[in-house]
Amino acid sequence: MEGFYKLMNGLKIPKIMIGTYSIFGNEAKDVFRSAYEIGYRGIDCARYYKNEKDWGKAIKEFGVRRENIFIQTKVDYEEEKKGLDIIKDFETTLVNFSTDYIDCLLIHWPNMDTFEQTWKAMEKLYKEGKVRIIGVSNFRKEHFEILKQFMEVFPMVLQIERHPCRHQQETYDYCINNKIQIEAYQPIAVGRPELMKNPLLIKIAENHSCTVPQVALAWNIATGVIPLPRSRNYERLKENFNSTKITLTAKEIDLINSDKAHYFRALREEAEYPGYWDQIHYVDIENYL
Amino acid sequence: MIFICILMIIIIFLMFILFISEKVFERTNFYKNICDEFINLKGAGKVDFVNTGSTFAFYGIDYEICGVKGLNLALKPQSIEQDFRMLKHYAERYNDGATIFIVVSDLAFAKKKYKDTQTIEKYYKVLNSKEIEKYNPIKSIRAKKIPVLYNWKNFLRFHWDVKRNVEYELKVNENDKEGVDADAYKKCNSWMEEFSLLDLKTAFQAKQFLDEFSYTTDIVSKMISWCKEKGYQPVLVNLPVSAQMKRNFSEEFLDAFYFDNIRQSNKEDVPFIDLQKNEKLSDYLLYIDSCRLNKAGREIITRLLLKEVELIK
Repeated sequence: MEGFYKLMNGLKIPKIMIGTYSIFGNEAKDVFRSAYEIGYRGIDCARYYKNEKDWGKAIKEFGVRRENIFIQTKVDYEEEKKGLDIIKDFETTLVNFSTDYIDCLLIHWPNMDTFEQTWKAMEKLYKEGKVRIIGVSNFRKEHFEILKQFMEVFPMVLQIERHPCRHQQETYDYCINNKIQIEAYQPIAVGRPELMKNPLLIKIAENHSCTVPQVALAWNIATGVIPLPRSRNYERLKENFNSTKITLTAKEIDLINSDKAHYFRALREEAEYPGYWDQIHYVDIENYL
Repeated sequence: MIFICILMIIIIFLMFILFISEKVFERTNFYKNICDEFINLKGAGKVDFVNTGSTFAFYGIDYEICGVKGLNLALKPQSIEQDFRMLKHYAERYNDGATIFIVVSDLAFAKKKYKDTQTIEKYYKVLNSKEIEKYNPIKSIRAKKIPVLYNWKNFLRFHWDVKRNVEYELKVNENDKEGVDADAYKKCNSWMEEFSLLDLKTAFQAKQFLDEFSYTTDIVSKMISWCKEKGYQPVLVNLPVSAQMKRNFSEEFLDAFYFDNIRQSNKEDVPFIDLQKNEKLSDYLLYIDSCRLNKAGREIITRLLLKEVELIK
């Protein structure tokens, strides 16, 4: 099981995967080749990234056996809003990756109006064996509670922004209690100074003779979270992968967990997905009067 | 003669450039964001409700949303001294018997004056020369006519503008609890730095502010007396903050820095509405961050204040 986590349905998922956002064409081929040689065994795609085909081609041309690579992608949320037929659209994903199954399929953004029908379609794909793992992205406790009302299969994976400057503790605790595997996008907070110049992280990096991004990734791994770092550079890909070999002490993890001073959101949900907070933070004025 | 002509041409050219720069600057989001500070002062006609206060009050009270005629005089950072000046300046607009909410926030008694240029000089736009301390006509022209001159960086705003600030219109908190907690932590740290405080828990630190307390409580007392003399109904108000912010302050600290000063100011025993006591109002969902109320929170607070006033009457 080294290098993998076991999910609630008994299947394995790599402890680190590569992010693919904005990597297209030949670049996807180069990045995949480098990443596979370094030791990565999983990729994180999305229909919205419009690069499934490129990465499918990269995998195929590299000649890696299907069972040796974990493919994760997400439902196209913009099309989903317009009433996309998930089952039909999923066939395109299979064609893009030249495969007859996808390891993990996620809802990209929670749309309260559509996620019941989306989730039911994903459950169908799961039961048919076309998808091995189903999960969600950018969900919070409140979204899970709504999903619970109609789901048959509980989400096995949640993908959120998570790094030492944004712990998402409430969501993290919820997932731990419900055995949902967390994945972290933007695990290095896009290299922002709040993370890169954080004195605590610099000190920990010195203790381990490693870099601050490696500490950020190692912290995610140490807390049982799968980081999804993205890079086009071979050395960076390698540096990121080597973070799996760094073991932070319990004290270091506690210190990061209690650091409020450097809080930072790499992604503003409301900017990416307008109305995101309205769904769960809506205030019923009469309740307060 | 030629030299003078050249000089004149250069001066006219520079003035033209300045004129154009000013016009362009006024169209930037950066400038519009600054002007948002005055949005609550818009409108005309007599009003039945008025409030003073600083940033908390700016975001915390909205009469229009509740369908009553009111005037929010809070211009974001605002000292108690400026509260009184603003209150007197707009007196012509108050109806007889109007209710005046004198909003004082937790650390307001510890602040005699603000020292930063922006906070001081914004009053040039609203008050007249006699109401401005150390009035300077050049500063007045700069504030009213050519604000582009406040900072050389303003000339770069044409290319490097900022996003339009939509915080005032937010109906929800766009942070989760962790974000609110982090915001409270950062704000408290910055207040501790601003007021040279060791923490927000120990009361003994109040001793170093006796001079400030004496000055500000005296002004609040005078404000109350002025309201009464004019036939208005003064009401002292403490606006709520989120639970995440509240837990950074100890009770003894608040007693020493706030409630003792409220008692000291309120010799005429006017009503005091303490909304921080209402646990429901510490729900972070009502705020933009850890202490500034969002549009929904603003409506709740204003409706509660109006309700309290009815009960008092």
